[in-house]
Amino acid sequence: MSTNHNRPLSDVEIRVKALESLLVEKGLVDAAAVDALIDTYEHKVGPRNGAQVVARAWQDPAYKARLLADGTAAIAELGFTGMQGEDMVVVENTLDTHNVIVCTLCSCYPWPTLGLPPVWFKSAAYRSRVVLDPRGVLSEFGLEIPAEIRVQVWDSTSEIRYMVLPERPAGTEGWHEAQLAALVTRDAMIGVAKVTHPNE
Amino acid sequence: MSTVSSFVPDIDNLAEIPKDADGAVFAAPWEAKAFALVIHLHQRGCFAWQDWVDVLASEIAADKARPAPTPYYLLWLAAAERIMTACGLVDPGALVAAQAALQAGQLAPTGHHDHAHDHGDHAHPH
Repeated sequence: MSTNHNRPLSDVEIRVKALESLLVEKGLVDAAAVDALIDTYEHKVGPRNGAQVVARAWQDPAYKARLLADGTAAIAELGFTGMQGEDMVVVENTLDTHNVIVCTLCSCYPWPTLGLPPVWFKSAAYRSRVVLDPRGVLSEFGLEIPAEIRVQVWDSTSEIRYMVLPERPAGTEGWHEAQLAALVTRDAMIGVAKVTHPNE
Repeated sequence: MSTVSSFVPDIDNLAEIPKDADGAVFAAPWEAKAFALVIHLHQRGCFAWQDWVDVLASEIAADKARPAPTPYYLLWLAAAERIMTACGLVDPGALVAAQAALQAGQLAPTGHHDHAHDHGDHAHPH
């Protein structure tokens, strides 16, 4: 199976990488600033795909079952494809488990559903620390997970990308799918935040 | 870096750029990277925004003569390579050499892959 980790770069990816490496070498480009710019422009376009997946799963139990059984196929049902051959696995937050995703060795990320990775996702600090001290890292994001709830960290493999299915917030019964999708954030699908009711 | 302008150019004056109500839309990470490199160099004062708009427009105009349309960000990348070599930011020979090195690097059996790794079991329970 071709993978995002070690598949050959396409010709166009090589052209972009060559350009970037020369510019970085000459000190004309600061890689972090470029990442920040991508963030600025990319807005919520990428994560919106993932948010639709989450909202559908909250609304439709049969869809949710398919999503948890075969994430790649269920996400493709909504028209979101473009993965490089790796599989999507969706992990559900439950009453006793909170999930968080990482790629410890590089920065693999399910970009067709979540857009481009935030800068911190690619930082060495996040990648190494979230495995060693997930509760500490989550609390830095402002998310305190009670001791009785298990925290499960999912590390991307060369063939699997993970995405978190967050808990549906209380008080959203009867909401339409589009209203629900608007609540779902990128950080919640990475697992460093919860989805909250707007009145919370 | 006080010389870096925080001015973010208005992409609305770029005809045909893929976007939706929220802003620019990218179909793949390389597109976003190519996009951001151009904005970044403009912000650093490497070229005027209007010069970029003109170079990109000429790539788009040239493409109209072709039988099949070229995807937008391929035109963007071609325009980026053009403006960066024209301004002397990037040497054309060095660009070709860097591309060849990247190509060769991934063809070599022990080629350097900064992403290559083999994970085993990946769930870390805590």
